[in-house]
Amino acid sequence: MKSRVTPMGIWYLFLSLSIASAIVAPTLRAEKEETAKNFLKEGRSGFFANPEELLYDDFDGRGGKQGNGTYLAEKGKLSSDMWHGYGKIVKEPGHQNAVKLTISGDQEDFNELTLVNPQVISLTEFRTFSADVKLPSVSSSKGYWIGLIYEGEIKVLGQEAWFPWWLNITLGSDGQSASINCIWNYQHTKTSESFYVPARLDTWYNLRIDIKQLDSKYIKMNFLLDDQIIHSILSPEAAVLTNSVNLPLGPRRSIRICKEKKNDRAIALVDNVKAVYSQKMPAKLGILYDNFETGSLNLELWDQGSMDFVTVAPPEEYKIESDRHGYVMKAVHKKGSLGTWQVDFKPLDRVPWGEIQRVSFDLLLSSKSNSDFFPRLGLDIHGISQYPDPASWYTGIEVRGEGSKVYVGGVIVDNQSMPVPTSATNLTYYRFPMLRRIDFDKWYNFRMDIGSNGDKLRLDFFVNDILLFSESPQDHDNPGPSSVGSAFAFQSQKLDRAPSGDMIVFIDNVHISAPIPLPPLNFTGQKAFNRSLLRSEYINVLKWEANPNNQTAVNKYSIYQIEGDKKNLIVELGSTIFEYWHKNVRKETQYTYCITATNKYMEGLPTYIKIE
Amino acid sequence: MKKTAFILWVALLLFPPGNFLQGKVVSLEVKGAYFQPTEKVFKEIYGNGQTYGLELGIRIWGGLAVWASGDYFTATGKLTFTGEVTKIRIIPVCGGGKYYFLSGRISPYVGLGVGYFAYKEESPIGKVEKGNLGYFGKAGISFNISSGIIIDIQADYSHCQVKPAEVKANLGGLQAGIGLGVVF
Repeated sequence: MKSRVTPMGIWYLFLSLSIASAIVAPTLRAEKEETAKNFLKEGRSGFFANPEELLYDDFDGRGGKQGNGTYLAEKGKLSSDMWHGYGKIVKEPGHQNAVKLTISGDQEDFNELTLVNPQVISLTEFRTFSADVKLPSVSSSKGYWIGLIYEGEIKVLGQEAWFPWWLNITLGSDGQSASINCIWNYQHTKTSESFYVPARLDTWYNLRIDIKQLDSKYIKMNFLLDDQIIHSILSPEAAVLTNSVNLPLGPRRSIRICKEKKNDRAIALVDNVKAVYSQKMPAKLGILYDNFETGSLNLELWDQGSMDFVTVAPPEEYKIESDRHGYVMKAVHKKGSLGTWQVDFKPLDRVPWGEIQRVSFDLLLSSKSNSDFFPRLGLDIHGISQYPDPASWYTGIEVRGEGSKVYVGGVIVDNQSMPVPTSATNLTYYRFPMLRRIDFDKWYNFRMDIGSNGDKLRLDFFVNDILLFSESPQDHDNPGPSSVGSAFAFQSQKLDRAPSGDMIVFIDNVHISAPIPLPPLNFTGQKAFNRSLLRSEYINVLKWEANPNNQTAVNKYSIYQIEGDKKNLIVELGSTIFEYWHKNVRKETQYTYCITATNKYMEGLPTYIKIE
Repeated sequence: MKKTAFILWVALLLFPPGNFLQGKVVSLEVKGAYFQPTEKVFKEIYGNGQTYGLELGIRIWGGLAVWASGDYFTATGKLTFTGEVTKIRIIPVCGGGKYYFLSGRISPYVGLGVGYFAYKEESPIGKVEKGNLGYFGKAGISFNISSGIIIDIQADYSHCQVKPAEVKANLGGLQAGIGLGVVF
């Protein structure tokens, strides 16, 4: 048969290829936009209340629309009015959707391209500032960065003094590799914090600063990073103590490119510059759990279980009492004594880092606590770093009571053994950033998510699902034998005088997402009568089911009898056995049992039953 | 003991021993029987079973005779809840009186007796080995099939309430069996 190529055939072929390419070959741009959209939606859902676009320069051609309805950028064109400075802004061939910022070779140090900054927009009304950036590997500069700069002056409460502060998130390069750095610096407190993570050249990143007003005194700054390729999020956070009402000067927002040396050529691609503001929006922490007021009863650790306390380093006296609202933990210090104590829900010493995913619990700090206490409550995670010398560190969430106020924040402590001076000195670096005011007598959910960036940890700390801060311990390249020492720590100490009174804490809904073996399900028991013709006995028949949520294989089940404060092991059974007869028990006696599962790492938390 | 004395007193009152040792008066037979316990839990644990034994009878006056027997019952069963294996052995050693209504080739009879039930039970719960008194009632027909040979078809009822440990139990029950014996 002789084949012929007809014009209709060519047309159909062309049409098919067009449709196929449209379906199966979405552009990187589309993927990036979708990712950014999802990131905004997932990461900040509910964060903005009816946001308005202040500046929106979309180089795709949609233009930037102001809150008053005018456009700062002409649709489809780049508006050079948006920028001023010494650099050049050109379209980048091959990157038609982006703009290339270039610093000419005769410049050094800071060269910034600053967004037009309407002064009418105050810090407290600002919500987000973001841009997509990429450092192409063709840059010749050996040290340069591009970043979002957010800076201004703060009038410190009660003082007629103004102090500069700045926050930035930058993507920098040394000519070989890239990294992302977040810095916030407050001159009035002479504090400076930074987070630092590796990045890649030739990769689009969304750099973003979110700003949230917590109350009249605190403003939170989120630094968000969206790696378009690896979809990771870096979210360090800062809190600014300021009087937002009397802040006359709006912050200065800029996209700044900076190189260190002359005769280098620094190129950065920028896209999707966005600034969003909204009306002043109180962002008080929500109350997820209100068991205290609703009278919800027992503190349950697992589906059926009760709290299993493991005490570590107990103080002179301590109490763990049950209450109709749950468990109450009281620290009672003898007069004239100082000390700390700690109650762990469960030590996780044998669980490797990569196996732990989440630790969370609900906590209520009672206003009946003695205000002299300086409590530390929260999640602890411990590690041992190997560089430059073995050192221990821990980080977690703290709740600090100061008089009649309570604050929550992160804690990062490094105990490093320094080789110099000659006598090894243990230095402790203690940070408590990101203070946030919370209330007494209200339930808050504390959560720590543990992830990884390659071989490094990334810890995200949340309060009521709001990201409090993130920690990616840059200095701890080799967690190595690191371990989680405790899921929860309770500490009370008074530094300047002997404490007195109680500190009262309610805890509820403790969940640890780790290879801690979950207790078996449907642990039930009943008393059975067993007899021969001439002899008889009562048997407590215990039954359970395997917990399908256990990710790590269970090796055995252990059944304990609870007698007073003692937990006596009765039997250990294989993982395929789901019934046990505790024989020869007394008919009239109430028995309490608990069962645990054990995997290759550790024994899990128990679940309890009582048999009347 | 009071009951035993009472029964002996009634027997002697009704059948005075004037005809003692007249004619063929001694019988000895081996017997096998099907035992059905009275108590439900006995049945539940061990079920019904076979008993074996020897019985000696002596005509003492007219249709009156005294008898003595020893039986052996053993069974393996399961505990009520756990189903674990349990074993029991019961050896009743009894004696009493019988009265034969006829003296021909077919001699129906009834009898009463008292006995000592020696029992032993072993199970995962524990071991019991003791003895208690119990009572017998029996009825049967003795066939003289030839000179000196008898076949004895009999039904027994026994009762022996015991409580060696935690629970009460009746070791007795109904048993129906056949005996083959000699008389001389």
